[in-house]
Amino acid sequence: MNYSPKWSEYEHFESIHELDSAHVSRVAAPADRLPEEVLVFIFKILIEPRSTSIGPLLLVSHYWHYVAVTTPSIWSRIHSRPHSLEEVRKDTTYFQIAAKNSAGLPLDVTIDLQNLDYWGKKGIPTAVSHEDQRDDADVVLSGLIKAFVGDNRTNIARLRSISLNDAYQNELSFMSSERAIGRLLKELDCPAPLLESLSLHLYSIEPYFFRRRSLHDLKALKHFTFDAGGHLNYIRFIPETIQTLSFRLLGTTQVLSQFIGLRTLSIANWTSLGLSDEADPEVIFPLLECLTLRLCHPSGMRFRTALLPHKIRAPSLNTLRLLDAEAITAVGIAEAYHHVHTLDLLSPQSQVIIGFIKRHLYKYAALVNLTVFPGNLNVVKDEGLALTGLNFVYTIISDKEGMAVDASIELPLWKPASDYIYKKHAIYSGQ
Amino acid sequence: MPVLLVTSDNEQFRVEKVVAQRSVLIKNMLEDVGESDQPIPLPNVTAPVLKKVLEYCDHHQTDPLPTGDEPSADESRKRTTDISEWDQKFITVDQEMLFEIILAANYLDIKPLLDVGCKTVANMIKGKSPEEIRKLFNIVNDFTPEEEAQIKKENEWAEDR
Repeated sequence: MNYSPKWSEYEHFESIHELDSAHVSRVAAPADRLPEEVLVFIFKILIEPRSTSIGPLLLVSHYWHYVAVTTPSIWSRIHSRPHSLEEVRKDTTYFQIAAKNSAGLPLDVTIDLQNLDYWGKKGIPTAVSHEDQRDDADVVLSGLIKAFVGDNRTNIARLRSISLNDAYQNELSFMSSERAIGRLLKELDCPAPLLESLSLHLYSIEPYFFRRRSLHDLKALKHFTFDAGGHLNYIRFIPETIQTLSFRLLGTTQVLSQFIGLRTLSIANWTSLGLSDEADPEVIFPLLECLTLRLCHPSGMRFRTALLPHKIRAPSLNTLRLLDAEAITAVGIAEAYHHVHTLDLLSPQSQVIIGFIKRHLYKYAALVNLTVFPGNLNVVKDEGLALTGLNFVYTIISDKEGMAVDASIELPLWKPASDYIYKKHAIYSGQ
Repeated sequence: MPVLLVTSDNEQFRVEKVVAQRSVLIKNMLEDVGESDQPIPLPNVTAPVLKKVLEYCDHHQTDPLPTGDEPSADESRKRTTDISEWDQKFITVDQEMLFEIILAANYLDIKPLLDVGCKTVANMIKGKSPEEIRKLFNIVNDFTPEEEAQIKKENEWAEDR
């Protein structure tokens, strides 16, 4: 949208400015008296989880519309989470408008296709063949990608972060968007000087990377989330520059030792092989501050890597996030990381948490923050926390989109702690 | 040492320095002026609003002051804590007072109070249509029918989202 204020709008503002403040306070609604920077602040709270939430705000009044379209930072974080191809088409228009209204600001783009109903199962039955539907979906998705990449890749130079989720919520989705995703990654196979963060949630990396793709040109890349089947070393990039790494461990940690600058590491151990013979005997990350572990495969498959926590030495670690009972038990046995000040014990299994608190928590002398699921709060308070010096315990109550979080929800490995809303509970020692 | 604050309606409030300094504006003024008995004029704040703002500052007087630096993972966790029960009760006021508190927090530069006020307004807006937002806040639809039609057309992407 090419917005330029109309004369009627200028007149509106001038007429307001001409009024003395006392008069304004009598005639204008309180919400219309908010200064621009405060209104922008409110808009940003509203678009934090979903950037398209800016839509209804554009239609409230001249003032709100003007503030929204003339604030580039409102448009520089672009989300698309379509449920249908019709929504993909809408998002394509939105991407074009956002790319324009964001002026020259760096762009943060999220494309989440995991809820996309490619085949129109929920819509009206159609006589169009699956092949034609698939081609149609491919064209529509390619349009979406082109909208934020820009003509002649003009926006590539502005891309600061990309998050792409093409995971397998819909059993057929990866088949349909594979070509579009491949095209996107091909677009990235060129200098992207600002691209700091790349987050890929894919069914498998093989179609995109194996013997074909390189991320060598992403020289600014610092944060890399790689939630996909396949081996990490299929991707060729510069590990020394990476500060944040999130991935599924498949058979070896050998590649890990290359990431010497890591500050945040999240590992899901999805291998039945355990640490293979080629694994590093021990990995040292001198700068690592936050370690997140999940050690059980979603299928319930047992793992053979109880020694994993021993394998990672992190003298600067301050935050430890354990996302399942196996990780809590393994870290307890490993007797590692007693120097952290923030600890998340996020398993629905209260007995495992209580066991950890009773047997190990007193060793964590620097601990300031402890977080559990809401359902575990009372047992934690009753059974063990009185033994520690902690004054507060946190519970996770929702993600930033307002989705309630409890023990029935498996927290995604790649979501940082700052993506959740917490509640603080006072603990009274000795009670 | 207490500080004397004077509101736009000429009412005086004597408050402890540690409470008044929750406002970055007042803190900076006190640092610039140094030790002084001079009253501090607050021409943009009325007495009922300042009373309410001081109630907030008094309750939060021992909280760490925001530094303005990038938050670490733990700080951001504390910052993203939901509106506390006390704050929620505090901000349960009529709409006129809610916006006056926001304006005062903005003028006095009390970031945590501005956060609470703006989050509350955002929660009121969330999920509402433009018409519902106008009705809620008594905002006049000042678009001409032609303008409204044009903006709606330009923003068809935003419908039913």
